[in-house]
Amino acid sequence: MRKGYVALMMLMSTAGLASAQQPVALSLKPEVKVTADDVVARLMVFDRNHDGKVALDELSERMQPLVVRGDRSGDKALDAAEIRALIAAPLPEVAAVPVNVGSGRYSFADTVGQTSRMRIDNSIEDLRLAFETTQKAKEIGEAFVDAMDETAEAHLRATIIGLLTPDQRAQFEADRGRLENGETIIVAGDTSPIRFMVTRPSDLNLLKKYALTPEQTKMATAAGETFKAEQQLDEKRQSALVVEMSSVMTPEECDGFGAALARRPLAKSTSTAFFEVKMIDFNMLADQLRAAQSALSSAR
Amino acid sequence: MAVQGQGESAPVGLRALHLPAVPYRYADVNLPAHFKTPAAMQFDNTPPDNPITDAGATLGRVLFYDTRVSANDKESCSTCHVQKSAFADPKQSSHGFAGGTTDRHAPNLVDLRYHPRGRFFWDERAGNLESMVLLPVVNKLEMGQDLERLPGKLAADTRYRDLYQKAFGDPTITNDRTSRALAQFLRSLVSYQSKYDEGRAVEPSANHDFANFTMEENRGKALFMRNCGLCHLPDQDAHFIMTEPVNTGLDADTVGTDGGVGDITLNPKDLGHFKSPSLRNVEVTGPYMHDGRFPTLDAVLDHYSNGGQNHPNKDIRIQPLHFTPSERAALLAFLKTLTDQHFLTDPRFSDPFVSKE
Repeated sequence: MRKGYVALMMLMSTAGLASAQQPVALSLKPEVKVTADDVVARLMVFDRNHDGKVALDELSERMQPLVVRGDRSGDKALDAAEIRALIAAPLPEVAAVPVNVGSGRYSFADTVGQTSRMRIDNSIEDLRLAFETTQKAKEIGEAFVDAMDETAEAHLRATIIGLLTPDQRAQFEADRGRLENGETIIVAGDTSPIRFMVTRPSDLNLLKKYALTPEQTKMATAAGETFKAEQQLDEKRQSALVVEMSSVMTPEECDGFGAALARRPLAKSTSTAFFEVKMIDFNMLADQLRAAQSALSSAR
Repeated sequence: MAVQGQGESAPVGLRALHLPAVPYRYADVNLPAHFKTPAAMQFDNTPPDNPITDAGATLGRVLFYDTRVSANDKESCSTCHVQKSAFADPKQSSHGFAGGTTDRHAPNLVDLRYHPRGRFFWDERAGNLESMVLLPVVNKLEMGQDLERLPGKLAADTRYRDLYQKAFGDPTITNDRTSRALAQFLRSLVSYQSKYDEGRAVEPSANHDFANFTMEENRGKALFMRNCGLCHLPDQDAHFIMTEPVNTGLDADTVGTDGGVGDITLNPKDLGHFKSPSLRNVEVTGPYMHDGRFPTLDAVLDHYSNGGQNHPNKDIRIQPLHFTPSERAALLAFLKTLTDQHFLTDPRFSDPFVSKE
């Protein structure tokens, strides 16, 4: 239950920062790209008599249809110009691929909702340790992430406070205080009460309520990036956590934990709706729920 | 006619054909529930005009094992696609009818029905199974057959007239019917009775530990789901099939090595992309990769553990995974749970020209 709750909040938080939290294209893609020149060079590998053309009988049977498609001069061979013409007019995709099968885009999971907490838990669970050891390891992981998050939040808040005007700061603190620890609002239905859990938006989302100057926005965005970075398990934090785990894990288990933690998991997003969730004004929602609660009470 | 009844004698000069009096069941096989989820069913590439029938797949089975389909009557499809190897070739290269060798490895034929793009061969040059099946038959290196001759050659055996009659309603033998029957048989090669399937049948999803697995197998499954499943078990948990060809960083060279899909489309982005076969029965389908370069699963895990070479088209999902020795052992243990002994010995898929008695 708790996991689901946290995940829901993460989703909304992610969506709220839409401009900063678009799924990040994986950065390990090599910069070098295959070009048309490479493809021409690739085909010319088959030019065994070095006459500057690839003849039908120089190609493997599976590639011979290329000559049928691309031979404009009628010499049953492809020269570089004919190959380039083929590259410019690629084969149409004839396969009828069912919608949703295999579609979607890939991202690092930690950019689209996976928290460091989940990553640590998964890495522990993958080890298949004894129950007691697993529990102790998870407690260590929880404490580690709590400390990491607290530090990141403290830094973020200090930065935000610093960039706001006195009026904005007062409003920010008031808004923040209203739902500091989240709130559960129960609206009595006809047959059974309906329970709404509302948590406050992130500090960065709160800022969207105020008319920030471009300079303030720029600084807030930078603070947000720092905040995200401070919540990530970089190599230094991974090493520190592995050291902490050595109090409950054997050296071999620590190696396994470190290896699992070092893998930055991927995620596939298949639902575009995930990225189109509208930002919700939690304060307004809470006000509306309370109003509904009050109206229902009065009616009775 | 000698087509019906176990071990009935064949016409003089022909090999005996052993088919059951009541045809084996190929159509409407009772698949487990995880094959019937909407997500899993989306993978089915069976065309509306060529559904699997018992008679059609039976004919396809006979054709698959008949050496007369090749030019010199010495090779059949089964020469390179061996049932006990899940219809892969245990050799790195396959030998053709005239003694030549192929430059690619003959892959397994497991679950071809569930390749959602419906494209086949390592380079996906065939747009559907019906057009794929006759290409090795006419290939000058593989079976060397002349399609002008094939119908007449088959018609010379009167048993085929009966098989085509049952499959298509009349005894006419055409290449189109031959390809349809072969495609039906290939689509019937579905593996669904592995230890994995037994475990999955009693759990709500593949993400749960399976009661019939050892701890190591469950650990391997979790590692697989976390690190491999995104590509090899996409969006469902029945088909261990990749939905699109990818470049896994097997080679860094863009010019001198097999270009795969790129050699067919000439799209620079496709260079080095290859289709992946099903991972079901992967324990017995080696050697691995399009050129059979990896003799063992250990070598395959080495490749993914190291992250492959830096081909410009290497898929973004291929990252070094740095598996520890115990993780590798767990992954191997899990992959072996995908072995389906029933599939590997199922008489429905076996050589009908060989007596089982």
